[in-house]
Amino acid sequence: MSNIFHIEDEKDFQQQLANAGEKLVVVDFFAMWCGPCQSVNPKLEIIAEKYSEKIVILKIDTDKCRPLKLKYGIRYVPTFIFFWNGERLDGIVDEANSRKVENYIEKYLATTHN
Amino acid sequence: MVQIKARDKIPSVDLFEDSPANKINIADLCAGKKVVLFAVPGAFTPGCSKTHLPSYIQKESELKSSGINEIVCVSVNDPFVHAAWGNQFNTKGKIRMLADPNANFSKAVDLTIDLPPLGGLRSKRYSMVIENGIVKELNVEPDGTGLSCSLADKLKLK
Repeated sequence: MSNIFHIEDEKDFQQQLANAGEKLVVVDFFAMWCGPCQSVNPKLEIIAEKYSEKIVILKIDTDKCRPLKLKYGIRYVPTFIFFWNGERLDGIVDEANSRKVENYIEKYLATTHN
Repeated sequence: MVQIKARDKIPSVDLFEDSPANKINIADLCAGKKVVLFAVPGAFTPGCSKTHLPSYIQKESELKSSGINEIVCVSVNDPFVHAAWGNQFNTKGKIRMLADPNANFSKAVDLTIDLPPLGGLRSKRYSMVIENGIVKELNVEPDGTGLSCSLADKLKLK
C-alpha cells in the first residue's frame, strides 16, 4: 500500500496528518509546470519505499491548493516541509534536492523514534 | 527515438533565430566548435529562480574564456517569443536563442516532455556539451543541483 498521498484541500491535509500517527510526514509542495518538481519524483518514490513503515509523503499541487500554499508561505517549488504528530518541524528544503530531503528524514527518524 | 547520449552525433535539424525565416542548422553550428546547449521547457516561464538563463548569462564570459565557442538556448516556442525572452535578458552576442517550434530537434534527441499547462509538448530541461558535433556530456533535469521555480507572479495584472 502506497505511502504517498495527493492532497485535495486543507481538510484532506489535516486528515492525512492525523492518519499518519507516529510516522514522519514529508510534505511536497509542487507545480505541474515545474520541471525541477518532476525531476525529484522518481527519487521520492524510492525514498517512500525505503522508509515505507516510518514515513508518509503528502503531495500538494500549489495551483490546486492555494490556501495551503499561502498558509505555509511557499515561494518556490518544490518545497519540502516536515511534520511529526501533527506538529511542524523546523526543516525545509526549497529546491529539487532529494538528498537534502533524505538527510532530514534520517535526522528526524533518529530523534523522533528515541 | 532513443534519447541522445554521450558519444552520439548531434542531429542535423533546423532551429530558428528571431523569426521563422532565419534557419540555423544545429549540426552546422556545432561543426568544428565547442558548444554548450541548454534547453528549457518554455520562454518566460516563472523562474527557474535559482539558475538557468540568468546564470548562463552571468557565466558567459567564463565559459567563453574556457574554450566554449557558442552558448545556445533552445525551447519549444515560436521564434518571436523565444527571441523576445532573450531580449528581456540582453542575451545578444552572449547566448544564441534558437527556437524549436515544432519540437523537431527535441524529438530528434528524445528529450521532450508533455506539459499540458504550457500547451503540450515541450523540451525537457537539460544541458549538453557538444564538441565538433559530438555530445560530450548530457545533464537531464538534474535533481540535486538546487533548481526551483519561483511562485512569485510578477506578470499578474491587478
